[in-house]
Amino acid sequence: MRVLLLAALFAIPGLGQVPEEPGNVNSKYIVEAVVVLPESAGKRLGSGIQSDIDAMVGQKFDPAAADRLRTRIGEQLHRKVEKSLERGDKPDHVKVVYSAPRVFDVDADVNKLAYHSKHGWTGGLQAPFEAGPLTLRVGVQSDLDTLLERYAGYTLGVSVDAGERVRARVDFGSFHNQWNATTLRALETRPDLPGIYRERYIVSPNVAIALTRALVLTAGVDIQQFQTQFPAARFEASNALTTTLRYRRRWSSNASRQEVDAGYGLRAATKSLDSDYAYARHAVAAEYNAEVGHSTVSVEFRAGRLGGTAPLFDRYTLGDSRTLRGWSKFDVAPVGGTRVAYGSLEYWYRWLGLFYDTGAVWDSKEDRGVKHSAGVAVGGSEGMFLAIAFPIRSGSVTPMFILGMNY
Amino acid sequence: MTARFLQLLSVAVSAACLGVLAQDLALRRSGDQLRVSAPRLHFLTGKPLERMRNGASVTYDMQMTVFAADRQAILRRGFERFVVSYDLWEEKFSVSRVRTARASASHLTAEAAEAWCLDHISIPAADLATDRAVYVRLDVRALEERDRRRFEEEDGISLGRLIELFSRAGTPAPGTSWRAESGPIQLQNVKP
Repeated sequence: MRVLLLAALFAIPGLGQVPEEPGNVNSKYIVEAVVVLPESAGKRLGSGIQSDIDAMVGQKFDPAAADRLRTRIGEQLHRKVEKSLERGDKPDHVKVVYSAPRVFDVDADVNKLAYHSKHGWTGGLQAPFEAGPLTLRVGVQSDLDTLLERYAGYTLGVSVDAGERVRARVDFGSFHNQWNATTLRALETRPDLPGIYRERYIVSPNVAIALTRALVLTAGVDIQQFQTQFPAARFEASNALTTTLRYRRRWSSNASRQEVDAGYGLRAATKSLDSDYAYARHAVAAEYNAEVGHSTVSVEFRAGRLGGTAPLFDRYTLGDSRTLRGWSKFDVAPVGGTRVAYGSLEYWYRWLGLFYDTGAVWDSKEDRGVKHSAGVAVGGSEGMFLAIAFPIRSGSVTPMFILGMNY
Repeated sequence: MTARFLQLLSVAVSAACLGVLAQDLALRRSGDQLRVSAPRLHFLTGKPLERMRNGASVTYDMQMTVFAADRQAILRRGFERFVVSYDLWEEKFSVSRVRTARASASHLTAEAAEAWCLDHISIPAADLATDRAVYVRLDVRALEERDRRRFEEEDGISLGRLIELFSRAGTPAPGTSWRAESGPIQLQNVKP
């Protein structure tokens, strides 16, 4: 069979080496811009590559040169880099786009900026430093957007990558906590709930494994100690095993961009880790974004269930700068809840956005009340935005003003 | 029952990976050359098309094979390589034949670009017996990015590489291989 095959092959005239491939039809167009995404990756490029990028602009598109540049960017960032070509803003011009997404995310839960007219300011900033193979992080934050209480303090972290797909990480946090009067009053009627705390310390080592470029599994331990106030000041612990599975994928073409971000998280506090609490906190979240032309549509869904008695920081809330906008969390559920369901629909046209949120936080079926809100925003689906949001309910309606940052 | 089902399933999956449909080739003679057309065979699709719409050029290797009636012995085989790209502004395809005598065409729709490729691959049939039944098969394979880079690192594309590509063990990535067949047919019945 092989002999026959080879005999037949060598009977064909013109065999042997073939000429080089011809150029890409788009090589007749002028390069209008070279874009490296995300922007943070572009800032990490050295001056040599930056010079080559600058030299490419204004010249005819050279596919081979663009491929070589992709290789160099990948080598410098230690990431897989995708190259694509898009129409430029000017006729017969093109943009070369290098996309080098991180396998692991930036700490969007630390870097934040938000203002809620009923809650006040929330802010956080974290700076990473490279020290050989280690990445060190130092951050400060004051946040009344995420939990029932305002927590203010500092965070430290260290991580090390083993290849592109495995990251080991340890985070430490120290926070002082302040409580809203509405929460304190509500707690007086809920003796079944743990009390407030003034100090909270966190140590959480974990390992993240990118099963694929889109699917990341994280597993670790979360040790939290906090100083309770009542009936007496003492330290309690909520030590848990944690795991998250997150799927994130982007698609882009000249005409549209789409992104799916979905995940499941479990925090299982157990007495075997010397915890004073034993409970399981499940959370699922999914978000879909589609950008077509100047229009952007976002759909978001979240749900969670808490089994057992958990400290207040692990109870679910809704009604902040990101969820159930138009409501205050202290009106929705001043002590949070053990169940949550939430959905949001958002549409942006250029700098103008409209949104509708709906959701509920509850402990038992009797106090489950679904709430709705809607509003308008200016700014962008990415970056800063200013929103005015209204709760949808009978009676007097007080709008909420929200200033925020989307990462 | 289960074994039978698994067998059928594996055949179906393999066929799907190769893009095998009942896409019979239409044969014609042009002088002493045997040519094909396959209006129902579409290979400017899927991931290769996505790459083209992202501004990349995609290399397609094609192999045309004449088999004896036992479908084992290869009587004649021809290879050709085409590079297809998509003009982002004009939204039309451009095609070049690069292995044998160069030829190219531009401003084509997807269907016209596919037809142009098939019009530019042929095999000499003058010395093939015309009274014996044969089968004719067309294999189309879009080079994946890593294959293309590997080939570009070498000096041109050797015949050995093409043989390796079409003979490679294992299943090609989904959406990168297509196949169309015709036969049994006697070449004396093939019209010009």
